[in-house]
Amino acid sequence: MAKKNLPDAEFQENQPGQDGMGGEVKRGSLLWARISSNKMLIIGGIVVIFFLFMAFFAPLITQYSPTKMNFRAKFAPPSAEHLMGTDHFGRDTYTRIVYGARVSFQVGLVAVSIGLIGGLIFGAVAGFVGGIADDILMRMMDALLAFPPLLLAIGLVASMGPSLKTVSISIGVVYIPRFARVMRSSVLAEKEKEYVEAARAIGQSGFKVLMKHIGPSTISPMIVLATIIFALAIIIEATLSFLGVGLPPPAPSWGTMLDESRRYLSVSVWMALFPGITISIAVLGFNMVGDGLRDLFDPRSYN
Amino acid sequence: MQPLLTVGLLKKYFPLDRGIFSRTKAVVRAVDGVSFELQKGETLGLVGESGSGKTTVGRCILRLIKPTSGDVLFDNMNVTRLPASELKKLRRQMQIIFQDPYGCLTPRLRIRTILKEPLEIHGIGTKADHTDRVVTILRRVGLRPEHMNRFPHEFSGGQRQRIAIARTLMVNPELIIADEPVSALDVSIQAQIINLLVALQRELGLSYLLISHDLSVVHYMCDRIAVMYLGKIVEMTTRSDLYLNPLHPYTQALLSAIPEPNTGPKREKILLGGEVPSPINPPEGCSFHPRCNYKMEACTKVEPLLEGVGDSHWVSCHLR
Amino acid sequence: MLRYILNRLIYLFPVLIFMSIVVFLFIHLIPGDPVDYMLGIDATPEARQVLRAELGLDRNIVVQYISWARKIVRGDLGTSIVTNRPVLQSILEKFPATMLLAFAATIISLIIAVIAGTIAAANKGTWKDLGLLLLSLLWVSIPSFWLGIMLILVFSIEFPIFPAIGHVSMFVDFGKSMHHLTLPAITLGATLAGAITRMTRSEMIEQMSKDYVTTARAKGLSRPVVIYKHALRNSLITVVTFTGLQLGTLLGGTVVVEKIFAWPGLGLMVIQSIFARDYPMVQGIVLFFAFTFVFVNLMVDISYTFLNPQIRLGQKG
Repeated sequence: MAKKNLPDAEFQENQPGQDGMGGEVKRGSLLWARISSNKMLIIGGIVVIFFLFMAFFAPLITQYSPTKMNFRAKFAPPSAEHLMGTDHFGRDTYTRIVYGARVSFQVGLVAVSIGLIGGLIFGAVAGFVGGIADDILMRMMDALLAFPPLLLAIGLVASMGPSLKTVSISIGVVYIPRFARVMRSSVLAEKEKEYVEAARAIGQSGFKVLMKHIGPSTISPMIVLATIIFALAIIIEATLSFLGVGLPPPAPSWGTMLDESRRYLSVSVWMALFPGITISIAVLGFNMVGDGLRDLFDPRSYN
Repeated sequence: MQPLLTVGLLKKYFPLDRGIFSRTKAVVRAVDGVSFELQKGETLGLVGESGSGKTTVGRCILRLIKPTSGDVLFDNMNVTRLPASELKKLRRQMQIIFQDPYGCLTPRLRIRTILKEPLEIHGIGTKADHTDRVVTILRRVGLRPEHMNRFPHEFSGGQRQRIAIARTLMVNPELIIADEPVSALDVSIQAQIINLLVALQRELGLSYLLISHDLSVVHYMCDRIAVMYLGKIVEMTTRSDLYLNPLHPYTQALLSAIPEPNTGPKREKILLGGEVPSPINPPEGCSFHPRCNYKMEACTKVEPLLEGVGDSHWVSCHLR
Repeated sequence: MLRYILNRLIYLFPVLIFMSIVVFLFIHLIPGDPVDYMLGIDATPEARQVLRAELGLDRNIVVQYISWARKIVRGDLGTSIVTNRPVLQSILEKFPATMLLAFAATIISLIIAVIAGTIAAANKGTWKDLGLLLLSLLWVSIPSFWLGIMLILVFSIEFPIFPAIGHVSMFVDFGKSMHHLTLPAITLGATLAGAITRMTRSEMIEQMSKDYVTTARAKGLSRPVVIYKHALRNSLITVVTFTGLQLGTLLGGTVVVEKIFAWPGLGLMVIQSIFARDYPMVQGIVLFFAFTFVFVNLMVDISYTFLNPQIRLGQKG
């Protein structure tokens, strides 16, 4: 029986991206639509960019020095001269808050970078290689996770001596395990999929399979986590400074400002009010960006 | 003539582990002694239900899974004993098409990246050559050159399978293992893809190992067919011979179950009792005997071997 | 079941070892000579010698660790440089105060948050829901120390209702004790409350979309009954488990709260020890907190396994 050729099916399959009437929906506009309807992301994004601006252009938007004392202007309430009043040393609160943004951003950036890169490496190796390496690495991660983050940070900073560098590094190290976990579970999930087997079948080396094929699918959860950890880094730095084990004075950290305000609560409410509000808004902004991104990347996971 | 692919007594057992505290080590006998030959230019079909081991055979031939024992000889290479460093050579001459077109393409890579990758891995041609070749192959599988800038999720199932086929063609392989290439597609699209595969074989002199549970597809495409049950080949012969003169009771039952159009005399459907036994504990003797309507005393005790009956027709059954 | 516990313990053992290594390394992170750092510049050479020998700093690092670890296992967490008393003893003295605080904070936040989360879930999509969601998001963002300061400002200074500092033992004067406990507990529980609210809400929403809820409604059960009796109970297991796992962060929070309210617990002692450079004490407290957390986690794990019949009845765990 000879092979007969069946005639090719007549009708055209409807392809994704076509609206069924012969027109094509633009790919880019779909993404933009999703972003612009995501209120969390927009509002949070605005807040974050605002603080970024503040941190970057600090000298340009302030007129006073954040550290110079002026005892004649102690405890001043908000006025035209001092937008947010002054503290117990007569330093302009608004200026200190703006420079505080710089501090928080520096710490956050370094901490998140350390956490992300460290976590990426540990998590990818543990997930991809598996076996004993996975066991050992994960137990090390669990060991770090068993410490309350603040306590571990305190221990590390106190030992190394408080400074901008040590605070940033300590916070970064504290959060490596969380990144590692996320990375590892992404890698594990993707590892079993058929496209990974297909990549192996064409002869691709293990490492390249991880980087080129699995890698791109693991990025989005890491980015979401990065924003959340940034928020946590800001809080922890502020807490450390508040407790007196963070950035040494006269560094303009929001946390230090709050600590200093405690003694003078009955004299000046403003000293305590502004730094606290600032921290809250900054952290809120980052949290909203994180939530918004999570929603953007996977609408199913958010209620 | 020397066959392109020879498989000899291939076995793959999967251990069932139960953690540190287990004592008994049960195994799943996925492939339990499979042997066949594939000539250059022919299409051999491997047919069976899910769990028959046919997919595992395909993976073992490619060495995506390491066989437990047995030999696979391909083009003067003993695949089973090949050191890892030599495997890359193998991957140029032997390719595989997977069943699920929605899962076999890396989601975040563009088509052109996916297609260029085999060329980069095996160091074929320059960067400029790569793009040309991608265009050529895309055209050959029925897609347009501009498709190479898109992502997999922008294509339908049939198109994705075409891309998967294109990927296998990039390095000019000799053998393509097609593991259920059309099972996940709409019936109307299946015909397109099958025709494409047939046309490509004619043009490029490819050899196919077609793994499928769909007998009508197998009937259309294959020159020879091997029927598998519970990890073993129970019957192997040419296409015409299988459909005109099936000898093994299992084959007969399979054939009787092929859906057919309403015209013409109705074929009587053979009903098999029972279910497919677990590959962990196959029955003694002939592994099919619990479900066989013709079983004899010998069937429960002695395992039948695959033996030749007439002109290139092999069957393992005591009924011959 | 027993096998599960055994498996968990075997898994935990290396974790505990790694943890102890981390704490052990604290001393070695100090730039310069740890003994100098701890005793100050004007310490006598003899005092230095004694401390050095006691901490084992004159020996090779692996040997140091092993002897340190051995002592830990026997319950000897070292001696405080400041008080010259055994660290463990001081810890156990201060521990109840911290536990009381943590306990009160957990209870308060659980009650409030579960109620809030349930209301939010039941009114999903309405203003009540969005409002509560935003509130809980806000709550998670406000630093606990600021909240504490604000609470003191409002409830202690402006309207003197609650005392700002100090602690009275429950057994001496229960009423006064609760009075002093209020502000610190609220402060500590606030962040936790935000997180629990969101968790409760999402759990309830998921439960309410399940088939058994539709069935119950179809059978004619009124909406409140279905919500409170059925969906809530099933959500609670997850919520309580989640809360147990938050204990770590909570313990960290006690450090801050105890400083603000001068609550004489372990958190306050850690801070004081750091300023006093009393390293054995710092190490001891951090280790103690961490081990407590691991222990609580294990208990939560086991009880969750116990409560969740799927795991208990021997599924592939």
